[in-house]
Amino acid sequence: MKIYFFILLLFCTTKANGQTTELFLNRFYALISKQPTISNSQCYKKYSELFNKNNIDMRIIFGYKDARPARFVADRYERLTLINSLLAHCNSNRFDCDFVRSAEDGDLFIKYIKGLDNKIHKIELRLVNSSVSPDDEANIKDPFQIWKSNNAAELFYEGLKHADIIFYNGHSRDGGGPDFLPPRLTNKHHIDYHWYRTKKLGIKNMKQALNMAEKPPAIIGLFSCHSDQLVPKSQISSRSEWITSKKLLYFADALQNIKDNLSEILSMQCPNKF
Amino acid sequence: MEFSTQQVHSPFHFKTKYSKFYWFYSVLKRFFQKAFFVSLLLLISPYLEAKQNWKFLAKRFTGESDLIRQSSINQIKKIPNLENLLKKELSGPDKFIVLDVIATLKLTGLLPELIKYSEYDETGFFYHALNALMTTTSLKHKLSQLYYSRLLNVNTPAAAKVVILDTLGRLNVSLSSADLKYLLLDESLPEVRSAALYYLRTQFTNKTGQERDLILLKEVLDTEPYQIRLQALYFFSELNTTYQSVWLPFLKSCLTDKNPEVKQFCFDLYQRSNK
Repeated sequence: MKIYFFILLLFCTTKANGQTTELFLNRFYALISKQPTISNSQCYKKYSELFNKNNIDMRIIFGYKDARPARFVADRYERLTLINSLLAHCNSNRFDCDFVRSAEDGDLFIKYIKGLDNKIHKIELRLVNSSVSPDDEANIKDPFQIWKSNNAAELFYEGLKHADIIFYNGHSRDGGGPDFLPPRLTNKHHIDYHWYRTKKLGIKNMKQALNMAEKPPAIIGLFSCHSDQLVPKSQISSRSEWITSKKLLYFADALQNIKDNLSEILSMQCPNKF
Repeated sequence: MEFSTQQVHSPFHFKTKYSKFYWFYSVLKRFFQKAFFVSLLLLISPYLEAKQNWKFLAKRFTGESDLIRQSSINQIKKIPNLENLLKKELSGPDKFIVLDVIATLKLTGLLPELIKYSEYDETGFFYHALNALMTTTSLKHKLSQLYYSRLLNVNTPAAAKVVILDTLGRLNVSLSSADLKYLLLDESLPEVRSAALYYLRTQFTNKTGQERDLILLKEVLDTEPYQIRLQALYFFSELNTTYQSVWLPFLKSCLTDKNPEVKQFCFDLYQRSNK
């Protein structure tokens, strides 16, 4: 009798907050799931700190993924591939799934998990991309592109100040850093790598954001080519765990890496870096 | 000296008599045996090597300098039986690399396979490869018809619908108002509705848009999520003043929008248009 009353109470609370039945079920399954156990003490401490709040702020931001000299831009499609995974039902051993999408905010995905403290924690995952369409030539003439780029950049750099976990999937611009805008081109319509290498705007913005952070993200993932070179030297010994690549990263591998890392984190597995 | 009967009856009894020739014969025999195996190895090794190597080369199509990219393309082109090799990998875990190779090298021989696998493609990337092969007018026409038929099929994955809408917009294929209304208002995934909105924008950019379709946007301003409403407002801001009398009345609903960004942009647009 007590359990039915409890379920009813949970349902009413969920509905009173304006949330859907899907979210109620999501929360319910988290409630009845097993409490995770971790034997490694360092790993236990990391995850305890990471999941010690009621709401966990996670962000995955796709940079502007042009394929110059072609006009094709792919980040919109890659984001959709990731959305398919997030909204799918979880099979065994995967945790990057069973998310519920917000009706009001198309970039917000929610999931409840049980923490090491045996309490329910709400994962608020924001998933954003930078391009309006797959045509770079059309995008540079579209005023909505400016909004999209600014929105993605703001979410990323603000996330470096406030979020708990943040992933970037995009170009490294040959060491220039993360980029959310259409590419700067030479007269021959090739990427102006010299400009990016010289200005390093992406890296400068990252440094600035991290320096202003009261508590930087526990995990920062840069899923882009040679991204180990993008980590500001001052941050190497910081409290943040960095996930980077030492070589060129193919787009399908970057996507899969994001999914695998997300699943690992949500299931509180202990990778070597912990 | 005693000779065994085996030796006496050996078919090579001549070796004792013609030892020099026999030595020469054995050397030649060993040489040809080795040469045979080496030749066999040389014949199959490009194929074995290619199986591993083509993926390495294909991953260098993007993210590398033009020189490396072109060199990778040239090397891949030399791989024997490339199309057969790719055909086998098309349904496997390396399908994205395969699609990249097909698109880059314009391998139209694999068109039937692409059409077959794209039907259930949940990523939309098979359609990108198909689009790269659209090099003739007849093929554009044939694929456009196929895309349109799949667009309204409920079993077509959402990601595929997004690519299809982008492609039909680029090819200036007209959708009926009824179909457009469904895609703008009734599709469950916001990304498909956003792609439909972008399709409409492309029509007007190409000056083939129909004024009657703009009326659908009044309802779009009442849909969720807020990003779609914002996209619609940006679209209004780009339209020719000729259409202002059509969309300006729609702004009354968004002046009290619950999302602050939408509300602010709506207000700014309204002010600007009323000057």
